[in-house]
Amino acid sequence: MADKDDSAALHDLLHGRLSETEAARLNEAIRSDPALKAEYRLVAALNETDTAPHPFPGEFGWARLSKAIDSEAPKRRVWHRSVSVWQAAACLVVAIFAWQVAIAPQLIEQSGDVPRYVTVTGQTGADAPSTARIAFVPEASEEAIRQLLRDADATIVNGPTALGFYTLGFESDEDRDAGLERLGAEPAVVQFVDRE
Amino acid sequence: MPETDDLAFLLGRVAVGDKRAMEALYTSVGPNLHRFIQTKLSDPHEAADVLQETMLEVWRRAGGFAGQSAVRTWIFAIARNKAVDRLRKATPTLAEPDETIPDGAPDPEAALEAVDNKAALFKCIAKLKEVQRSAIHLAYFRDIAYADIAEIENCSEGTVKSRIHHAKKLLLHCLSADGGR
Repeated sequence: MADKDDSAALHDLLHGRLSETEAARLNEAIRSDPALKAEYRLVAALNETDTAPHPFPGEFGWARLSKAIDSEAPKRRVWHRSVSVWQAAACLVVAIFAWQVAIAPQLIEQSGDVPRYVTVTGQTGADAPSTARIAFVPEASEEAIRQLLRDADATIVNGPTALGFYTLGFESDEDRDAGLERLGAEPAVVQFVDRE
Repeated sequence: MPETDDLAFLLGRVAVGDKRAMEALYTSVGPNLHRFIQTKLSDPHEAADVLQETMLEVWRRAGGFAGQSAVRTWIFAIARNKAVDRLRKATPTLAEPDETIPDGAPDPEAALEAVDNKAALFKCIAKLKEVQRSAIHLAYFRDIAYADIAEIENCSEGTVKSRIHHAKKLLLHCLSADGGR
């Protein structure tokens, strides 16, 4: 088998993660060394080879899992057991300290009709719209999505992410809550939606 | 926003009992998780069972996720443990045979000729040890970093590198010997 460093770099070469110089050197090595060439072709083939012979259970799998989840005891919002009273107290002290040092002094300086608070990053309530995260059903048409967003008074402010999530902006928390109800009532268009 | 943020967001919702978030998580990680499980368990029913058990465990333990690894790595590690448990139960007294790498270098010309033959490649992959199969699947097909593979497989990064190195060596020997036959 070829030199161990070259061997390990073959995968990076395939994904374009080597510098130009390093890529040129390795390509030259592949051309002149039949063993390295064979290994490079093997790595390329492995990159494209899905070794899973059986299909993902998909909806059937989810139905089965959903049933199992339903038979579990309902979850409760509780402190995680590993959080002791002392840890909770420490969190409280840190929060009070942060309030006194970062927020309270700025509140004192505010007056009149300027925003009622300014965070340490300078963001105000006025320019921080209420947001929610949403994923659409892949089969939903663009028109159906547009119409639903209009009905829910929602605007896409970010996305899509790697997994197809969008961030929605609303004028206020009340608008967002009403919008979430409207969006949640359309399972044919919305796969998942919740406040951020 | 990177994939990891989405998964962390979903897991956070799962932790408070949001079933729709669980469905989204299942849809997002399920297909690749199922592929990974199949590198360890060839029986389709067992692979589906382990997928189910893994996701149920995620539902139960989401609230305890410490964030010391990426969500995907954490879920894959749960699946790995469950698959290994199954393997141990199936063959409680038999350890995996020591790998025997044939003497001498593989014939590069013969390997080159056989490598594009998918059936031959599948046959050779099937002859690998389960840990080697998983390592090449995660490293090449899924393009996961060695450090993350080490976390999933509960071993050192050096062990991952060594498994991949030996797996490639065995595959080249297998392909060059008789085209994987």
